[in-house]
Amino acid sequence: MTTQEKLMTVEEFESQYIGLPYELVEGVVVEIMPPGIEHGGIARRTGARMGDFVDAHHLGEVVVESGFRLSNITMRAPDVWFISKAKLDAMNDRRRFGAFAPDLAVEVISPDDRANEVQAKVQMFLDAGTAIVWVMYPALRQVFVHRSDHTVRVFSDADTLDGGDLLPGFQVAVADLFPPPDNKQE
Amino acid sequence: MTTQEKLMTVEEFEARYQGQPYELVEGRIVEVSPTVSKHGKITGRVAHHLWLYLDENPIGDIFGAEAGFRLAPDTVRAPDAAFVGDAKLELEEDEDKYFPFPPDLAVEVVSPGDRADDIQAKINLYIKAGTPLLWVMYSKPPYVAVYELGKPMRTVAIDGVLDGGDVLPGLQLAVAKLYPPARKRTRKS
Repeated sequence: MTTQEKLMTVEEFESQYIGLPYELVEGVVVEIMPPGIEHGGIARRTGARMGDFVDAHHLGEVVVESGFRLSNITMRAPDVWFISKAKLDAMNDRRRFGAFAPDLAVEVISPDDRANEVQAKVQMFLDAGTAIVWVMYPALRQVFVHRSDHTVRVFSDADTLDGGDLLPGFQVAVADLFPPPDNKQE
Repeated sequence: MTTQEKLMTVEEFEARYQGQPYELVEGRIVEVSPTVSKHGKITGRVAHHLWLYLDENPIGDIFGAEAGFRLAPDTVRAPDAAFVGDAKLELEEDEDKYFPFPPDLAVEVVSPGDRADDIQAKINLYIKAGTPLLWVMYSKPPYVAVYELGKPMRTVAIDGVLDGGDVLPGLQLAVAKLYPPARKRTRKS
């Protein structure tokens, strides 16, 4: 297509679409499909464990599916994300989208997710200032931890994840984030 | 599904499917379809630059997407481009069979339709097989994920440089040279 459509800003998007299942990606409104059970369970476990830790230590806020502003024309909603207390305190209105990139973002891979798009999303977060991105692959029971220094580490079922300097003392076994083996589909 | 399908070994696969557009992935036959234009442009550029290096440093051979490598007793994959050093080539006993080892460098170019799960599973197979160096080339935006045996994985952006490491000593390859220049026509939405 060569016609140039009008690109939407985050402000316009927020006034029309907040609370609805959409993201704004480079000025274009993109629908988000509700994820499947496996995806939701993994996001829930991850959010719960990280959230309990962050609440107990007053480190900030862990949210699920909330939107944040990546640029003037991009609003994304990672499955789970953490934002530090300092950034949270700098936001005027918490009923609105996050004004800053999260410190840590978690994306759970769905079967239809395309490899190029996942990679693009990770880079978008890192470029916007996110320090750590966890990409969780349910089919492989692996978590890829991308950092802003462009290194990536792979954590498998037997490994333990931590939150680095962002969440000092936080540890969670990879196996505890994916469905227990007896839930697993044969 | 609870029915157990019969899984194939590399030997069975080789006997029945050799020369046909398939790979064997953990015992299952997977069809390989012709790639889209951009994919081909990237693959061509990678092979070209690897050949330029080999012309100066004749230490092995470059292979295109058709060469099959045995990554496990139940897995044969054909990377988009591959380098095998002379030491490993000497281990090969029968040129009419798949290479019985992983390449020293495997290059996989990600196509728009490639699922994230499948690409990651493919990467796992190369790593498990002990591939010394793997470049996974994403195209939108251009990024190369570098998996070097025994080192942390890292990503290199369009303004970065790929290093041949121990596999292709001295090779310094600007990522920008491996991707076709951006199209000048109006960006599609």
